[in-house]
Order: sequence, then structure tokens, then C-alpha cells
Amino acid sequence: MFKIILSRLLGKSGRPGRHRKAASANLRLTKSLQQNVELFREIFSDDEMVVFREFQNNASKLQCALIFVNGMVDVEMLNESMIRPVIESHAPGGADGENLPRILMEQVIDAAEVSTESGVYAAAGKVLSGEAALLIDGWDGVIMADVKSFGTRAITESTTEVSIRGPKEAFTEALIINLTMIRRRIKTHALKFKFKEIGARTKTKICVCYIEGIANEKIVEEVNKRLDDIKIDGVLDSGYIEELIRDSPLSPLDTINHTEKPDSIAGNLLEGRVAVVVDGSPFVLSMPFLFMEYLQVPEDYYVNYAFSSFMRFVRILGFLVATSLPALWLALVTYHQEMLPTTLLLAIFSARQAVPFPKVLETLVLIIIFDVLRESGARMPTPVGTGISFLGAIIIGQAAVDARLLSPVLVVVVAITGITTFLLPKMYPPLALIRLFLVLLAAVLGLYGYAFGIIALLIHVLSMRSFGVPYLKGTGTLKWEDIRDTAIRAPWWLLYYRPQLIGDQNVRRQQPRDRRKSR
Amino acid sequence: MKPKRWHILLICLISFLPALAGCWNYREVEGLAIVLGAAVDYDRDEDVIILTVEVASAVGPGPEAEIESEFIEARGRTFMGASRNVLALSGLPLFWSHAKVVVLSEELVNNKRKLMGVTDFFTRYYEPKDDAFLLLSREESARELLVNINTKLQGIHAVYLSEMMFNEDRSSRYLSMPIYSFKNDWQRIGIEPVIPGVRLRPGKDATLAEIYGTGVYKDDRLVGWLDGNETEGFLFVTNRIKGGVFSGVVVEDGTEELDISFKIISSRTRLIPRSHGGQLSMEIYVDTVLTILELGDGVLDIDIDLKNHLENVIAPVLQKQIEDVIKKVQKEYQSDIFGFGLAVEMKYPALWREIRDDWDHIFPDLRTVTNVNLEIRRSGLI
Repeated sequence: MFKIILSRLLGKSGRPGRHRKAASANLRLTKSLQQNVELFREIFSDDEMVVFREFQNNASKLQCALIFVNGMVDVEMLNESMIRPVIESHAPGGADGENLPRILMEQVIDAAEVSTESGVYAAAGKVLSGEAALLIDGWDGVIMADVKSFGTRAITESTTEVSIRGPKEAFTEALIINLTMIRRRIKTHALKFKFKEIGARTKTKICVCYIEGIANEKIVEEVNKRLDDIKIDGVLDSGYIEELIRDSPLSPLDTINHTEKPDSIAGNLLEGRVAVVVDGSPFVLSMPFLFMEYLQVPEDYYVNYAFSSFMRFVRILGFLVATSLPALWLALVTYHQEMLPTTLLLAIFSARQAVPFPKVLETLVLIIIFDVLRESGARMPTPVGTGISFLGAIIIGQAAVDARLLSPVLVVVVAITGITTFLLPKMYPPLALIRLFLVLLAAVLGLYGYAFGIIALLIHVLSMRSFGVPYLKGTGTLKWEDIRDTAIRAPWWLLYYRPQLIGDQNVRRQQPRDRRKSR
Repeated sequence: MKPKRWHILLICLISFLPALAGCWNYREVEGLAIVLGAAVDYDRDEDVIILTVEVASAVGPGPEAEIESEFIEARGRTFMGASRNVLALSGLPLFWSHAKVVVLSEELVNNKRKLMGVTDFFTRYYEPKDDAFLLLSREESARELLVNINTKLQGIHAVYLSEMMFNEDRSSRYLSMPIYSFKNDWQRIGIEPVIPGVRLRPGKDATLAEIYGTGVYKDDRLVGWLDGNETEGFLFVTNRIKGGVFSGVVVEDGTEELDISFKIISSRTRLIPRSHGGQLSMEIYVDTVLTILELGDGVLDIDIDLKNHLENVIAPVLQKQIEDVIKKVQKEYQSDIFGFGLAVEMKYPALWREIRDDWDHIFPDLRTVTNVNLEIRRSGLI
């Protein structure tokens, strides 16, 4: 429905026009080295990062040119593996035009990953991603050697998902490093990595990972299809991909998971989910993503099951409080004073004395101030950020109350809401929006409005799906199979099955122990 | 059908409609005079109700304000009228939802029209809760009672009184009477209402209120009082004993007196009417479980003989207490506060239809049989 409304309101503007295909996309190399070099110089005109290095073989005087981007290759390695061997090699006899590249690749060039290209733009693209291109006089092809080397961030602890117990390393920006972190955890040939390139201009490499035999084939197919449908000029973070391929694109709730932790992704893959790794982004996507996953953290699976189950209960409570408390509070104190206990009403009554603003305004202002504080604290450099939270806490908590601008009871309510919000850090954006939505409704209609809001929210969430899996799956159920890893976290020796609909191909995760009967 | 632009507009407009309905009022708490209790008197000369409301007022600066009671008095022919006249004095609209007790004066209770007005206000109007407690002032006026309480136990007089009512089941010596219950009993045939009395106990440091006796109502008038002992008997008959203490003096072997008290663990009373050849009688079965709390002769070990002995001694005490109150109410007040009529109606509906109009004459001479079945279970912690 939102889609219809939005498209109606925006008018049928349609999508932006397709990229015009470069007329010369299929431009091919010629046999003349001079011409070929000219072609590349044309393409890389005004780009002084690109280095053209021409040299010749000592023995046969064969003319060669090496093209690479300064800074993206390991110069030492380039010298050792390409320039010196080619200059010094005594090209074996019979090295005519046809055989030359093959012989060069097989016997001379000393790089691990070598390939050939014949299209100019394809070759240029590889050069830009850090490969070195070797042009040889008299051959209409180019040898590409992988000598990539550029600074990347070291593997560090996750800053967004801190774990107390469990693996601490987090993904980095480099795709290959990220993939190795996944591979290291799941050493099976069934773990598949499929590369794609998205972004007409950024040519960002992305990788679709799944475990064959566990992941639902239809979901894998759907992910691939949606990725192939993307026509965008640039992808700078996995957030782009997330919004471009997700279900319910207008919903504030996520339908694709993102995480910085390789152990979390490995767990998802083992459950039959599909992961998408995007080069340049330390956040890896996994899908399908269901609502219950908001309430789970990887650590749940590493610590005592009873404690994890309790924490899940606390998070469910936190979700309810974080979305509803200010709205319920506002509804009760402005519309339904008869429903408050007398003592509480009197406490509010005395606290509200001499506060000049209506309660609706007071509540809205304080909620927005809370978001402002959080945002400014998060964006500022850490020392300044801490200062801001301090200042905010003191000003709001103390000074504003003393100056009779806010009532202390409300400060308590919003503070509790704020703290519970941090129970679900991943859910912060939807929580902030849902909370505001409910507060506005409660301000207009009291509890009646709040109930309306909850109904609207339920209708919306119930209609959602993530890659074909109902979004609320496992939420409104009392089946033991479904509860095991949703509302509670059963001990590992009871978690026999993977989630239904997601890991359907191979449902059994472990054999029941001998002393337990198979169900 | 493809949605058109005006369809969307229509949906938007319709979705705003509930907002226009404005179902309840938006009110700021500090813009209300929160009524916590009320005292209602009757001025016979002018035939008006004198309403005194206890409202909360905040004293002191800003957030540290203390809640204190403020008493506002207004007059009016009807309760609602008087309540409206308060507005001219308080400046803020009265908010009745938190009114906890309503103290009535004897003169008001004896005026059917005015009393009906008060109970109607509390049951018909949506703001007040009809489970506010009714109390009957045994002072000169209701106002005097509500205003003159002075205790550190609880700063707000109405809350102080309502706490007493809430804890009725720990006492077994008085009962609470919510307005809806009073109104029910009043308007049904086969039962008459009672209303707990309250008086002031002035002391050196404080003036406390005391629940004192139970007023018996009959034919729209207050006809008499039951004291604490009689109230306890009355509560046993009407199956309202939930707990509390039962104590008595037992005369041992005709010579030695024994002070003894029990905690009532549970108690159940069944009223069973019997009709023998047109002769109606009422059988009252009381099953009570007690545990010993105080035993005046220092016996440590209680054996089965002592238990049986105590049961045999205590049961008649309780039975006499119950029989006494039934007799007194039948003979002196002739008011069926026990609800014997309702019991008859439930068991013999056809018979009841015949005798209903004559019940007032049948009740005083109704034969009653009381059976007390007493069990002493456990002897406290020792």
C-alpha cells in the first residue's frame, strides 16, 4: 500500500534512465604495441597515477609495455616477478606471435595469478583494480598479473558489536580478507563464494556466500536475481546493496541483517542463510532476516543457555518498553488520569507544578533531545562525544528540572526508555521512529491512539516477508520446535534443527544423542 | 481497480477522522483539582447539600512541592449542583476519579432523596469510581470528621480513611462498604444495607479516626448500630470473614479464665433456608479454621485432647456471638441486613414471590439455627 501511495504522490517519475553503453565498450587491442599504448594513454589521459613503463627483452629485443596504477601494486613484487624476468629471460626458440604469451605466462612471469584479456576496457578496468597489464609488441592481447598491494586496515575488534565472550575479530574493508575470515570458520567445499561486480563506475566487487545443500536454492536464486537487477553507478557500502535488494523497502524495520562479526555470519550460513560481502564495507549482509533476530546476539550461543534465555526475555521487555513507554505514559497522564494509582498521580501533580509547557510538548522535546544527544555523542570524536553525553545528562537531568522546564518524572521515563533502547543497538533506527509515531498518536488520541498505532504496526509487520520467509516467523507460535531458538535459547544439545523455511534442504543440525530418542 | 490520486486523498482524509472525534479530553494534571475524598452534610433548614471536598494541592517550590490537603465547601440542592459550585471556589474543575471515601452525616443518610442523589452521582457519572467507600460520621457533621483528622500516619485524610477500609479483612471487626454495594443492597428486596460508622479519637498529639460500629439501614432510615462484637458476628453470617483475629475469654472448669486468641485462616458460611409445611426457617452453617496465636496458660505442647477441648469450648462462644447479633437485628432493628431474603429467593423462587411483599413482617420472627463447625489447625509456629 505504501508503495502505491508513494508512487502516486511522487508521480510516475519512473527510474532514472539506463546508463548509456559506451560505444567503444568492445574496443579490441591491435597487434601494434605503439597503437595499444596509445589506446591506453587515451583512456587514462589526465590520470597521472597510471604508470606506463616500456622496456625490451635483452635477448630478442622484444618490445613490451607495463601499465599499472602507482600505489595499488607492490612495486617490489612487480620488479621481481615481471619486469626483471621479462628483460632478462632468454626466450626459448619458437616463441612466435602465437605462442609467446603462453610461454611468457608459463615460464617467465613469476606471479601467482595471471590471465589474459583482449578487450581494452576490460583490461583498463583490471588495471584500475590493481593488476598490472603487460602489452607485447605484435600480439593483440594483454597479460594481466595480480600484484595488488594497498594499505588496508588491520583486523580489529568490532566497535559496533562488542562481545564479552566469543570471537572478537571483526570484518575489515578488504573483501578478500573478509572472505578468508568466513572460510577459516567453515572449511567445507560446499561453502560457495560467487563474485559479482556492481556499480557502473565503482565496479565494486561483491561476493555471495552460502553453503550448498543447506541454503534454500530459491533464496540463493532470488538473491542473485536481485543483485543482477541492480543498475547503479556506485556502491560504497553494503548499505547500498541492502536498500536496493531488500523486501518492504519503505519499512523502517530491516529485512536484511548486517553484522561486523564473522562468527555471526558463519552461524547464519550454517542456518542456511545467504551472505553478501561487499568490497570496501566491513558490514556483511545476511538474508533472510526475521524480526526475532533483532532480539538475538551471537553471544547468546556462547554463554550459558539459561542466562541467554533470560537475556532474550529482557530484550523482548526492552523492545516493549523502548517503543511504548513514553506513549503509554503520555496517554495515561494526559487522557486517562483515572487509570493511574493515586499516589503516582499525586507525585506527577506535584512534579508538574510550575512546569510551563504542556506535557505533549515536554515529552516530544525530551525524546528528540535524547536522539540529539545520542547522535551527537556518536558522531563526535570519542573524547568530545563523552563530553557531550555528560553535558546533556547534567543539563537535562539536573538543570532543566531545577529551572522547572521539565518535570523530573518525565525525565525518568525518557531515561528508562533510552537505556532500554541500547539493549537492542541494531534496532535503534526503527525504535526511534516507532516510538515517535506512537507518542504522536498517543498525544492526539490517548490510549485509543496508542492502540491504533500498535494495530497499524502489527498489520505492517505481519504483512512483511524477507526473501519469502514471513517476517514474524517464530514470534507468534507456541510450537516447541519454533520456540527453541526464538523466545528462549535451548541448550545446544537440544538444537537439533535448523530454522524452517531457511535451512529446509538439510534440516537436521545434529543427531540426537544416544540417550535421547529421536523425535 | 487501479487507485486514482483522489482515492489516496480520500484515504488520507478518512484516516484523520478519528482525530476529530476527540474521544477523551486532553487535560493536564496540574489543571485539575484532584478530589480525594468528600464529606456530605445536609442542611435541613434550607434543604441543601453541603459538600466538602478534599482536594490535593501542591505546596512549595516547583518539583519539591509537597502534597497537602485543601478543603473546599460548597452548597447546592443536588450533589452535582454543589459539586459545580465548588468550581467557583477552586478555580479548577473537580476531577472525581480518585475520590476514595465519601463521608456521610446521619442527617443526610436519613434523607432518602439526597442520599439517592449522592449514590447516583457516583454510579452514573463516568468520572468517579463507584467503589469509593461510604462512611457514616458519628460526629456532629461529616465535614467535621473529614477535616479534623490530624495524624502523621498519612497526610491526606481520605487516603488515611481508605487505607482502613482496604485492610478490613485483617480486622474482622468492621466492614467496608463501597458505594455500588450499598446502592445494590438498598434497592434490592431481600437485603438491607449497612454502613460503617466512623468517629474521631482526639489525643494529645494527634486526632485519629476510628471505625466505630456499623449502622443498620432500614426503610430509608438509619435504625441503629452494631458494635464491634456484633459486627464480627454479622460478618460471620454474611460470609465476609476473610481473615483477622478471633479472640475470647474461655472459662476453664468454671473457675479459671483463659485469654486466648486465634488467627482466622479461613471461614465459610452457608445460608440454607428450609421450608417445612409453609414454616420457613434459616440454617446457618459456619465452617471456620483457626490457628492458635495466644494461649493464656503457657502450655507448650498441644496435644489432640487439648485441641478437641479448645474446639469444644470456642465453638459455643462463636455460636452465641452469631445468635446474639441475629436476635438483636431481628427484634430491635427488624432489618434483613444478612440477606436471608435473597437466600430464600435463590432456593424457593416461587415461595419468595408469594412472601416477598410480606418479608418485613416475616423476617423478625424467622427461626434460625446456627451450626458452628470449628477446626483448630496447627498451633502457630510452635
